[in-house]
Amino acid sequence: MSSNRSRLKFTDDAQNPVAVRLWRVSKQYRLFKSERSRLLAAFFNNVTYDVVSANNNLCFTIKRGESVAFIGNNGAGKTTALKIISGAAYPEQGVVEVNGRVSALLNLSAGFDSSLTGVENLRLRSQIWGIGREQFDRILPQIVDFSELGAFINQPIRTYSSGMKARLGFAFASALNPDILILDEVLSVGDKNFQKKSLARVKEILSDKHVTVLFVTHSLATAQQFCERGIVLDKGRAVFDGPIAEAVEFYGANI
Amino acid sequence: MFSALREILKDNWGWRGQIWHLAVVDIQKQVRGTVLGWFWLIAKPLIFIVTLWFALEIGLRAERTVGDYPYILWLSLGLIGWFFMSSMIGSGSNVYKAYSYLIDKMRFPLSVISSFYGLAQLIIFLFTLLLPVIVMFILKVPFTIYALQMPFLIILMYLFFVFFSIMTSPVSALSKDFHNLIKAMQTPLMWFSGIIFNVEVIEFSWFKYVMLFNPITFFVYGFRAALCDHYWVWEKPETLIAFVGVFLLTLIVALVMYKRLGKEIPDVF
Repeated sequence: MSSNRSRLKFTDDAQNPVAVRLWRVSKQYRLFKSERSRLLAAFFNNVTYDVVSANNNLCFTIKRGESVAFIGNNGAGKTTALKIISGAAYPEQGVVEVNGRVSALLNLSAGFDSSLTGVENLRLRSQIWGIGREQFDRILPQIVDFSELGAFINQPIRTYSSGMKARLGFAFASALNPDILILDEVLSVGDKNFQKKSLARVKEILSDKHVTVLFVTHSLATAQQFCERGIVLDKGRAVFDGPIAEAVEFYGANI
Repeated sequence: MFSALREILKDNWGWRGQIWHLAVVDIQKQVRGTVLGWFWLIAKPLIFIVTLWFALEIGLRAERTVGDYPYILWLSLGLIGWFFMSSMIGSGSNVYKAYSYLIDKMRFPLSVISSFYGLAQLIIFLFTLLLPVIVMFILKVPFTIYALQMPFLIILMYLFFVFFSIMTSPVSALSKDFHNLIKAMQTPLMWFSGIIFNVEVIEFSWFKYVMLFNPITFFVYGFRAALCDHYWVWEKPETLIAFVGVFLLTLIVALVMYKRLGKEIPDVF
C-alpha cells in the first residue's frame, strides 16, 4: 500500500538531455465495495478491494525538446501517465524521473479555486509557480487577451462556463514558459477560432527546441501534425512506441 | 516515521514563500465580498463573547469561580483561543477536500496545505487577540513578565493544530463519516475544556482528568496564566505533562497517517 517500491525524482534541471524517464512504472487504483471498507482500509491492512491497473510496467524516455502524443482508447491509462509525470499521482512501482518544470492541463482544467476571480486565480497560481510580481504584470494582459474572457476575468471562476475555464487554463499553462508542457485533450475545447489560435500557440511553443510537449488527444490528425513520436497505450501498457505516423497506423490497425 | 517528518519539514521550508501567499489569499477569500471586510472578523467573536458573558455572568453568576478580576477577561481569553481552535478542528481536519485543486492537478506537498490554512487562521487569531487586550486596558489589568509566555504558547498552538490537521485530513478525505465525527466532537471539546468554566473547581475526579488531557484546556489556561492569572505554565505541571503527552501522540499518529495515506490522497479527488 505504501509506495516503497517506487522512486520519484523531480528536478529543475532543464539542461538535462532527458526530460522524462519512466521505468517499469505501475499504478493501481483501489476500488472499495463501500464507504465502510474504504474507511476501514485507512487503518487496517486486511480489507478487501478490487484493483484496477491504470498503468502497467510503463517504460519510456522522452528527450528534451521532443513532442510526444499518447494515443489510446478511453481507459488506456493516458491521463494517469501524464498525472504521474506532472506529480499529481503516485505510482506503486517503478522509477519516475522528471527534469524541468512541468505545467500541466489535466482534464481540461488547470486547477482553479472556484471562489476566486480569474485574475486572483492567475496571481495565486503564478505565486505557486514562483513568478515574481513584475513578470506576472507582464504576462497577465497576454493571458487575458488570449483567453478572450474580457470583463469576466474579474468575476469568480464559479460563474464561468466549462469552455471559459478551459480557455483560461490553456492561456495560463502556455504562458508560463514551462520546460515540460502537458496538454490533456485541451486542443479540442472552444470554438473553431479558439482551436486555431491554440494550435498556433502550441506550434510556437514547439518551435522552441528546449520545450518538451506531451499530448493526449483523440484527434489523430492533430497528433500527426504536431508530434514526432507517438506512444500507443492499451489497458495500461505501452504497446507501441515510435514515429508518429507508424504509431497512428498501429493504433488504427490493432486497437 | 522520521523520514515523514524530514519530508514535511523540507517541503515546508521549500515552499515557505508560497505558504505566506496562500495564507493571505485564504484570508482575502473570507473578507472579500463584504463592505466591512476585516470588521466581520472581529465582530463575530465580539458578539459571541458578549452574549456568552451576559448568559454566564449576569444569568448564571459564574464569576465567583475565577480570580480577582472580572469574569469577562477570563472568558474572552478562553473564547478567542477557541475560535482559532474550532476552525482548525472543523475545517482544518478536512483541508485536502477544500483545496483539492492543489492536489490533483499539480505537484503540491500535502503538509503545506495544513501549514498555510493554519497560518491564515493564526493571523486572524492574532488580530482578534486585540479584543481581550482592549478588555485588559479598560479593566486596567497590567501586563506582567508572565505575558512573555504568549509567543511560545501561540507557536505551540499553531504547531499542534497543524499536526492535528495533517493527522486528520487524510482520513477525512477518504471518509465523510470521519469528518462528521470530528465536527460532532467540537461541541464536547469546547465544553469539556476550561473555556467556559473553571476546571479547578470541579470535584468529579475522572471528569477532571478528561479535561486535563484536552489540549484546548492547556492552551486557554496558558493564555490566562500569561495575561491574567500570572503564573508560569510549568508551575502547574500536571496540565503541562498531560499536554506534552497528547502533543507527542498527535505528532506520531500524524506522521504515521501521512506516510500511510499521503500517496493515496490525489487518487480520491
